[in-house]
Amino acid sequence: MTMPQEISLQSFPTQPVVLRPGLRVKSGVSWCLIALASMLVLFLSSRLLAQSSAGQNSPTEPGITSGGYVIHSSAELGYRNTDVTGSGAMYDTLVDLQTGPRILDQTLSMQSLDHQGLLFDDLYLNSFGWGGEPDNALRLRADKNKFYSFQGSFRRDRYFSNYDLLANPLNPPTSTPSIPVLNSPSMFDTTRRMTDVDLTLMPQSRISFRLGYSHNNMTGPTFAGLHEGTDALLLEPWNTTMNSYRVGVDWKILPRTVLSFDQFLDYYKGDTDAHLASFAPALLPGGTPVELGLSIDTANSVPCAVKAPATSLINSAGTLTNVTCSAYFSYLRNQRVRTSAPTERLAFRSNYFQRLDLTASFAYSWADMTTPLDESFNGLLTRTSTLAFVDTGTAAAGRISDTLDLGATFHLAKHLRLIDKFYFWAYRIPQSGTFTEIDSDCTAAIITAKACNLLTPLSSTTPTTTPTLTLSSFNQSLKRNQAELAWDISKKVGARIGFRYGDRIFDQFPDFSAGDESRIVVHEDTALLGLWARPVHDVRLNFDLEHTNYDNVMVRMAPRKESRYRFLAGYNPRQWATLGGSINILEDANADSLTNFVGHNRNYGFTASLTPRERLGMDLAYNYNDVIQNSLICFADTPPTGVSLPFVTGSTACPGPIIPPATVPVNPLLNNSFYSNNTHFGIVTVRVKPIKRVTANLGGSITSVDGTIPQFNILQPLGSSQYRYYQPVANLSVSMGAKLAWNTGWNYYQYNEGSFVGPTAPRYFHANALTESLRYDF
Amino acid sequence: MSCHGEGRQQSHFAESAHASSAVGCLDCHSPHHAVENQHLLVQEQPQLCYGCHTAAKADFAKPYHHRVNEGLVQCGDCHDPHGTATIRQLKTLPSGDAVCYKCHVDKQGPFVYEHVPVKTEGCSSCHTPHGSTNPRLLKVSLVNMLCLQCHTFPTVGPSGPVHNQSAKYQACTMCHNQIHGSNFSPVFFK
Repeated sequence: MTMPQEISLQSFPTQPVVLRPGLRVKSGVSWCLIALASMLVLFLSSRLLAQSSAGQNSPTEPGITSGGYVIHSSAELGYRNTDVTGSGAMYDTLVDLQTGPRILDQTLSMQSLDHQGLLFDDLYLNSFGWGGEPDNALRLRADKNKFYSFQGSFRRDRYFSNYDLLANPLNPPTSTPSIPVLNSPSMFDTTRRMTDVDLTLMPQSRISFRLGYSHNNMTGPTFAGLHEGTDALLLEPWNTTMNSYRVGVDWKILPRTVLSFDQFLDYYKGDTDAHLASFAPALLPGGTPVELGLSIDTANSVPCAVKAPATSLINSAGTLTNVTCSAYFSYLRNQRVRTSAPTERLAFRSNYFQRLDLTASFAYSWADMTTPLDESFNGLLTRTSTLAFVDTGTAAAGRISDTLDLGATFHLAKHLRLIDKFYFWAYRIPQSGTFTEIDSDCTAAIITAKACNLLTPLSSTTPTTTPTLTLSSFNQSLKRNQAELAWDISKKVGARIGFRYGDRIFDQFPDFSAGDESRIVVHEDTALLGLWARPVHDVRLNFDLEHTNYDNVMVRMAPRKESRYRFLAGYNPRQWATLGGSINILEDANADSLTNFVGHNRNYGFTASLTPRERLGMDLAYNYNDVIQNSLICFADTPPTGVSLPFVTGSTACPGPIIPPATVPVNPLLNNSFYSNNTHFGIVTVRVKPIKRVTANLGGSITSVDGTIPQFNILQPLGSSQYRYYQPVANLSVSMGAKLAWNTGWNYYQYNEGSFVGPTAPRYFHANALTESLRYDF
Repeated sequence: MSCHGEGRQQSHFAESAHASSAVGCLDCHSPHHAVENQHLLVQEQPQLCYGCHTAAKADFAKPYHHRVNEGLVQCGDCHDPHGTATIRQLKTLPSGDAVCYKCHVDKQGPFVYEHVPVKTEGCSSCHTPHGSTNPRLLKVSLVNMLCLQCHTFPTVGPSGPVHNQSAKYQACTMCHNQIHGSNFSPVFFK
C-alpha cells in the first residue's frame, strides 16, 4: 500500500500573492500549450482510470504500464477559505490567498519502456495553482530520443501591491480639509502571463536546429502620481507585451566541438495610458467638478491656502472656496511604445583538446524604440498661470550593443588547472525627442488683475508654442578578465587563487554641445581566493573571498572598496541528520570625504533536518541578517513650528555650493544618513506520523525586523524598519486508500509594525487560511 | 562531461564557481537515484540549491521576495548552475542586458532619458533581488533616503533635490514615478 504524499510547508504557500476569479489567457501559444496539456491529461486519465487496479501510484514505484509507457499521474483538488482581520491591502500585498476552489497540483510523467514511443519517449507535465491562486504555472517537457526535445512553460502571476507608505505625501491632519492618503499612490494589481516554448530538432545529430518563442504580457490597473502644479493621482491601466522569437543551429564541426548561430528578435509593445483618477474632488462655484490631487496641506498652501473667511478649502457643500488653486479638470497621456530588437549570436565551444576547454561567443544587438507623445491637461497651474497644455511629438532611442565572451581552461596537470574568462560588453544608446508644447496661459492683463483662476475661460488665453529638441547619447563599455589557478590538492582539500581585472567607461553626451561629454572611467582590481575541504565523507566546507578596489565610481553610493566573504558548511553525522551553516559577509565603503559611505550585509544561518524515527521528523532553520547603509547627505528640511526632529537639529551646515540669489546652500543641512536592519528569521517544522495512515506537520516561522532610519518628517513612521511577521502552520494528511488522500492545512499570518501608523491606514493584519483537498494518484 | 561537455548549457562548467569549489555533477544529479526525473536531480529546486545556499533560503523567506518557494520562479531562471560568462553565474539576455528584464520587460528601455544607475550599476543598486524586508525589494526602508544618498551635493554627482523633507516632497516617487527611465521627462515625471 502506498501512503499519501506528505504535506510540506510548501503545500500551502506561506507568503504568496493575488487572486481574482477566473483565468484569462490571451496568448495563442499559451492556449495551445494549455490545451495540449489538458488533452494529454484527459486522454491519459481515462486510460489510467480504466487500468488503475493494475498499477501503483507512487513515482518511486513501478507505476502503470500502458501503451509501452510507464505512467505516473496525480491530481489534488481542494477548497480554501480565508478570513482576514485588519488591513486587507497588506494581506493582499504579502499573502493574497483568497477563498475558492482550486486545482492545487497536478503531475503526469510517461516514460517509454523501450525508447520506441510513437510521439515521445519521455513526457513530464506538472502544473499548480489553477482556479485563482496568485501563482499558477504549467511546465511540460517531452523528447523523442534522436528526433526532438521540447520544453514549454506557462506561468501566470498576479501581483497586488499596496504598501500605503510608499510614495505617500503624508497629508497632515492639521490641513483643512484633512484628507489622508489611505492607499499608496503607487499601488497596482497586475497579472503577468509568461509563455516559453523551445524545440530542439535532431539534438544528437551533427547538425541540430532550435526554435523558440516567448510571450510576456502584463495587464491590470496601476496608479502613479503626476506633478503638474500640484500632484494628481493617475490611473494607468497597465498593458505591456513582449514577444521573443528564437532560431538557432548547432553544428558539430569536430568531435566535442560545436559551432552555434542564433538569431533572436524581441518585439515590445507598451500601451499603458494614463488618465486622471479621483482622490480629492470638489466643485467650482457653478458646479464644475475639479480635482485637487493627492497632496492636501493647506497650511503650506498645497494645493493652495484657505482664503478667509472660509475655514476650509472645501466647504460643507463640497465647493472649492479658493479658486486660485492648482487643480485639474482633466489629464490624459496616451503611450504607444514600440521596440524591436534583433540580435545575432555566434558561439563556439570545444573540448577537442585533452588539456584545453574553450568557449567563445559574440553577439550583436540593435534595439530601436519609438513612441509618440500625446498628452493634454486642463485645469490651473498657478506657478505658470497655465490653464491648459497639449504636448505632442515623437521620442526615439536605440541601443546598439556588442557582447563578447571568451573562456579557456588549461588542464596543466591532472589536478591543476588555469581558468581564464574574458567578458566584454559595450553599448550606446542614441536618444532623440522632438516635442511641441502648446500652453494656454493667462494673459499678462489677467494676471495683473489677479483674475487668473480656475474660473478663467480658456478663450481668454493666448496659446504659445514651445518646441523642444533632445539629442543625446548614453554609452558604456565594460571589459573584465578573470584568471584563476585551481588546485585539487587531494580528494579532501583544494584551493583556488585568482585575480580579476576590469574597467568600465561611461560616456554621456547630454546635448552634443561643445564640451558636454560626461566621461567616467572606473578600473577595478579583485583578488580571489577559494578553499574547499571534505575532511571526512560527511563533512563539506567551502570558503570564498573576493576583495575589490575601484579607483573611481560612477554613482555616489557605489563602493571604492568591496569585500565578500562566504563560508558554507554541510555535515551529515547520521543518515537521518543533515546539518548546514553559512556565513555571508559583504562589506562596502567609499571613504571620499564628501560621501563617507559605509555599508555591510552580514548573514549568518544554520539549518537542520532530522528524522530520527520513521514516524518523527524535524526541520529547523535560523538566520540573522545585519545590514547597514550609511553616508553623508545634504538635505533641506524645515519641520513645522514647534516640532523638533533630532536628525534635523543634529545636522551641521552643508558645504554644498551657494547658487545665487540664494545665500545659503540649496540643501543647507549635513548629516550622516543611517540605515540599519537586523532581521531574525526562524522556522521550525515537526513532522509526526502517529499511525500509518496519518501524517501531521506542525510548525511556523517568525520574521523579526528591527532597524533604524533618520526621521525627516514628524509624520513619518518607522514602517518596514520595525515589524514582526508570524506564520504558524499545521497540516494533516490522511490516507483513504491506496490512491486517495485527504489533506487539510491551516495557515495563520500576522503582520505587526512596531511604531505609530502615520497619517494613513493601519497596516496590521492577521488572517487564517484553511485549505481542504483530496489528492488522487492515478 | 565526456558526453555532456559539448552541451550548450554545460559549456561554461569548467570555468564555473561550482567547478572551482569542487561541486561536481553528482552533487546535484544522480543518474540512478534521482528524485527529480526531468534533470535527474537528487532534490528538486529550490531545496537542492538551499542545501548549500542557506542565505538565499532565508532571503526567499522574507516577506517581500521573488516567488521561488511558491514554484513560480526557479533558481535556474536567473542563475546557471553550470556557469556563465559573467560573475555569480548570472544569466544574461542575448543583448547582454541583465536577466531581470526577461520578466520586467518594461524596464529594459532603451529610454530617451535613462536613469544612470539602472544601466551602470544594475537593478541591485536599489533592490535586493532574492528578498527583502522592505516593499518592492528595496535596499532601505525609506525611499527618500535611498534617493538622497546619491542626489545630495549639487556639485558632486547628480543634482540634489531642494525639496523640504518635512513636507510632501519626502515622497520622491510620487512625482518621479518613471524612475527606471522615461521617454518624455528628464526628471522622470512621466
